[in-house]
Amino acid sequence: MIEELIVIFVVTSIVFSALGVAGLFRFPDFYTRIHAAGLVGSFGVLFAGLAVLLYAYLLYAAGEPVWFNYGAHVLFALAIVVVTATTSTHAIASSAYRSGNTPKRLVVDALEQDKLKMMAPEETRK
Amino acid sequence: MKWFIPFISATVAAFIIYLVLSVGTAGETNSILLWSVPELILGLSLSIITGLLCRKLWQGKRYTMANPLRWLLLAVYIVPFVIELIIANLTVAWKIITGRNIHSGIIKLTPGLKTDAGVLLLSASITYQPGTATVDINERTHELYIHCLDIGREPKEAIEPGKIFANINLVKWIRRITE
Repeated sequence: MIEELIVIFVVTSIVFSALGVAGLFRFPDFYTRIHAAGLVGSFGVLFAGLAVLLYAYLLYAAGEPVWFNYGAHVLFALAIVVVTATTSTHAIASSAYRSGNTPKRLVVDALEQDKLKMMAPEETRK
Repeated sequence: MKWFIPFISATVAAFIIYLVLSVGTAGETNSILLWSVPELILGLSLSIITGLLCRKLWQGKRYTMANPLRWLLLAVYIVPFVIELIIANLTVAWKIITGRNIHSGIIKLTPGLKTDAGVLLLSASITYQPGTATVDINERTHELYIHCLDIGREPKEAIEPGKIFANINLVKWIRRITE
């Protein structure tokens, strides 16, 4: 039962990662491609981690002492991935906008009129 | 004494990370719980060095997040966050498959949160969800500029704080956690 669940989780992870890569090619401009890459960073990674957690549970049920290594390290890796994926996405988007890469097909851009205020150096912003 | 609290918090955080990374090093003898004693001594001395190095990086003035009840609420916050994450993932996956309904735009969100921790948690939550990403933050007025994959056809510059997530008002949760 649990082994089938592990296979389902791994397949889900692969499907969402593949969709994210497909989105990288299908979406029109830089900012929309960030969202496609976010698909890999959220469901692709989370389901892979869940599969390893279930495998750790299988080891625990079989009485193997290494189950705690698997579980603790995967939880730690998931927390690190969540934090770093978020930070890097924000850093890439922010630096792209500041270096003049404005989105192509855009319904509305609220940042453009506040740009001068936002681009100002740190001292004048306070 | 001004550097003491940052030193202690950085040391404790570094030591916890070391403990998680070195879990399961316990041998037959000379070990406490799950860790061997030499590993613990090495980890403690390394985290004290880390705390000494990092004590000047601290610029905080508030200690509202020092309350353990808030950290418990933060753990409970995972549940509505994951529900929103599932909705956002399925929406973006469907948009990738069909390739339609992409009306992207950068909109302004004024969440009305008072603390820096609240704005950090909100912008991180928004960025981690596929379909929305925080592009810039006005640090003085705490306004977020968010790039959305689909904001509808009619142009609107600002959005209400409750509307940025699909079903659950996560801004209310964050206000309860951090204020």
